Amino acid sequence: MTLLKYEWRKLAGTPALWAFLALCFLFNCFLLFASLWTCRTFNEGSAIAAQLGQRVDADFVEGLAQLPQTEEHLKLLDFLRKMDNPLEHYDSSTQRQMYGRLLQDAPLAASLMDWKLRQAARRAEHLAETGSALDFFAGPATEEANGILYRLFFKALLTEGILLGVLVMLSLTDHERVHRTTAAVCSSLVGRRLWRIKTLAGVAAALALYLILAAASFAAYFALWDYSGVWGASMASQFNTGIFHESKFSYDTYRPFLPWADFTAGSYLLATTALGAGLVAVFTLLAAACGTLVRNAYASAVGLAVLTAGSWGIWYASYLRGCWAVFVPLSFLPVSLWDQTLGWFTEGGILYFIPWQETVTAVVWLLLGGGGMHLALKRFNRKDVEV
Amino acid sequence: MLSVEHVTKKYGGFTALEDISLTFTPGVYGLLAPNGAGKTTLIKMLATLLFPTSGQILWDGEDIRVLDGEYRGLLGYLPQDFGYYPYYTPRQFLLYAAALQCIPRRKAEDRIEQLLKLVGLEDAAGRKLRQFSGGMLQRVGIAQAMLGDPRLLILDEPTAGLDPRERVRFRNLIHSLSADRIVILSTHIVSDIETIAGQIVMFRDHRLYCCNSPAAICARFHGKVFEVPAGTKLREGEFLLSERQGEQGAMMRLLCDAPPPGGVPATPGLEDAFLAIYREGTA
Repeated sequence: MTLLKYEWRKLAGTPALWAFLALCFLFNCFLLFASLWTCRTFNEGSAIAAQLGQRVDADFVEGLAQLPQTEEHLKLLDFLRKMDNPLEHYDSSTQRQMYGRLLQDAPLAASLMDWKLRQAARRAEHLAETGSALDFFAGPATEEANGILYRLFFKALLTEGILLGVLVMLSLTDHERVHRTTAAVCSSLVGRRLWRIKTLAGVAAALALYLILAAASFAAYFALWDYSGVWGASMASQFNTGIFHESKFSYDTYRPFLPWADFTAGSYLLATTALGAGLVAVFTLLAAACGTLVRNAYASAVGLAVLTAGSWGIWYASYLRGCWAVFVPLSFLPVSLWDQTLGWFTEGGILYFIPWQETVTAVVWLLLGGGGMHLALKRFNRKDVEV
Repeated sequence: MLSVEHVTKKYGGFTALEDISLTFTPGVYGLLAPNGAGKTTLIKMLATLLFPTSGQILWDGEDIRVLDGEYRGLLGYLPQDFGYYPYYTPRQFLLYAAALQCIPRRKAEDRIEQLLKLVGLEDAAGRKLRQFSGGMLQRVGIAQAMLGDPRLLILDEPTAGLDPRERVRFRNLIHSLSADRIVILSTHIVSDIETIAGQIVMFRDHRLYCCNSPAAICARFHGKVFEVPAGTKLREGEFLLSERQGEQGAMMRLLCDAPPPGGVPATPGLEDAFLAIYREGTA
């Protein structure tokens, strides 16, 4: 514990880290102010839900009709009066056939996709029974609001958390070289085992910084975006149509947001933040392995950046070109997971091939990152230390 | 007892040390050789920073790689290029070094007070290390090496940056410490070890040249060192060791088998022996 504290103290004495943390927060505030216009509409929807409840039923419609009428209210009332439960008609067979044709050159991917869609159909049945799609969420502003929250704001937060984690870990693994204390440290009783302690300290610090940044950024976010009437809304609400509108493929047009668990707005945010923490830990562990092997923060940072950007580029290019044999394995990379923040814990269309793919990917990469770090430390223990 | 058994260290095609065998028992050992001869390579292997390409290093008969932390717990090491955290005070830095040696905090605090006094830094204990001079930092390094009361103390160029008074104090300190521990000093400053080292280890051509007492090393050159007036033309077989100012003006010290004309026999010192052994053309 004493040595962990010393490692944290080394981090506390790194001004660049605090400066970067402050810049991240300022950037998030900037993003927040850029979304003020949508926020107003969302807050109105949230206020309606706070007053009338989440479930759109006869009482809800009646209550809405008694509120002061605006043009938007009238349109909304008209829609709500005709609204049914779309999950009751959910049929995955069309999609299964479509993906089967699309993935015919990648048979394993095709069979995984078919299996996933069958599971999704079961989820849809369950959600149809619970009537989740009949939740109001925040009405018509829901989809755009969730896009802003997860595709823009949370993605920025996650990126910052990952960068902070990498910065933390590389500054710790390179700290002794920079201060010329490697010889004294490696010849001490603790010796090269200090790098194991550095890894623990770095991962803990990265997670703490990510959570601090998340807490501060979300506090600012929810001070502007009023979620008081929304926290209990189901993510499977039909007003939350998910990620599929923007897909370049015509076959990926509107489909419901089908989460693998009965997420509410609150629990989905918590789960997303927790998975984000997992992803921060993955990248921090990869940085630890890289920093321990390379023993130069700058070279490690460049190496990691090239590796990450390169694999993301190949993954994205294979998506655009429809090279599914390449795309499918690369979909299980942490960087692919980072790219799809709004689709986490959902069926996910062409982006995911198994249920809970993001969670599986994060867990597998946590194990791989931990294993990689273990091997890097073993190699470091047997290697000459040039000082 | 520390034993180096047939140790060779290679870097790719370059052999830094070849087939070195040495035994260290309590006392002061001086590693004396020109730069690049392999002193620091041997020291880094003793400090477990480098690993032998072949051969092994044993502490009380056990391989130090196997002993791992147990061995390093007995070791105090001052690297040639002593690094530090500029934002720490010497007390904080030594507390950190104590944590790395797994010394309990209370015990470490007492020991640090003693050591700061011993190296003359008790008045500067609260200042940041970035404000320290080179000599002061070197004293912090010496204190750090002695923190765990080590049974094996390895000091690589320990007197670099110390003024004459500090060097004398340092020599006295090492002398007092050497009774019950192995002290290995690496230096190319002959005067640092001439008076305190019981044994001098010398390397030549990346091999062990000798491990002997200073007197025995000097004795090899008895009757071969002479002084002649400066400006005397050197004959074949005569090698200029050094020049100095004598009572009769500038003098040259020569190494030769037969007395030169007008040459006055001189008692060879360790510096003469060093210069004689590492004449140009040898390394």
